[in-house]
Amino acid sequence: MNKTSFVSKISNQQSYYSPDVWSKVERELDKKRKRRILLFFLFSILLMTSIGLGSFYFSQKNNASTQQSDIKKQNIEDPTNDIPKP
Amino acid sequence: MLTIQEEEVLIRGCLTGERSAQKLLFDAFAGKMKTLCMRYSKDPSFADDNLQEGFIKVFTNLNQFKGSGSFEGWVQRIFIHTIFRSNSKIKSLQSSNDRKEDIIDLTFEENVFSKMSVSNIMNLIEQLPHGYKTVFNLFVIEGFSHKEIADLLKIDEATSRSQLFKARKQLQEMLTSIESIKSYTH
Repeated sequence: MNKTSFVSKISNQQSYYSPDVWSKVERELDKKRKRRILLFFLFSILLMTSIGLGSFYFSQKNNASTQQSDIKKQNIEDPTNDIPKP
Repeated sequence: MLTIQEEEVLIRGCLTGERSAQKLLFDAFAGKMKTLCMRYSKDPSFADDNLQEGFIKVFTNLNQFKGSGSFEGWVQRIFIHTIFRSNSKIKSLQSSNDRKEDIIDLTFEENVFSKMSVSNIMNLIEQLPHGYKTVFNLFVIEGFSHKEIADLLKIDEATSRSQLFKARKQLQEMLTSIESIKSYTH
């Protein structure tokens, strides 16, 4: 629908607004920005902790399996290892 | 009034979080948006709350503006949704199933309104019952379709059509009586 002249007259009209509105908007935007930064920071910490814990777990698992395969290897090389010595 | 280029520069600035660009955009639209808020609530403090809430939404959702339509129209829609989400009273329209013509001819209003001042026109619209005024403003001034109005106010499209029809009828009656008083006194 084309805007008729009375419609544009009404919709282009400006009203007085309190100068406090901008400071409130600014404050709210700052709060949102801080919240975003905090969330990002928490997420990074969580991510880093998960990576750290994950790599620790896998390195432990690897160590355990290496030790096991070392024992097996030793057993293969020296089969008498399995026989309890008197 | 901003040019399209100025608008684009300010939008880019706002997207990077520049406070000066946000302030300039705020200054460019605040007066008009306050008028829009006042159309749906006569309480200035409520209108200021909506103004604040609307601008926060504009700045935080600016990345969703695709640049395909008018920026002012996009801002206006955000404000309308903000106003109607925060004001449950506006939603309480009576349901009705009258079905009237969708395409409306504003010639009558245009002829009479063009001779009147903005404040007089607004006073006249203000005298309409709440539901009629809301639908009239949304359809005629904001340019919403009946479907959009129905979605926004959670009413039937038929109710929106009917409210608009009644609003126009009442406005025409008021305008006719003003006209006849004028012609009698002159």
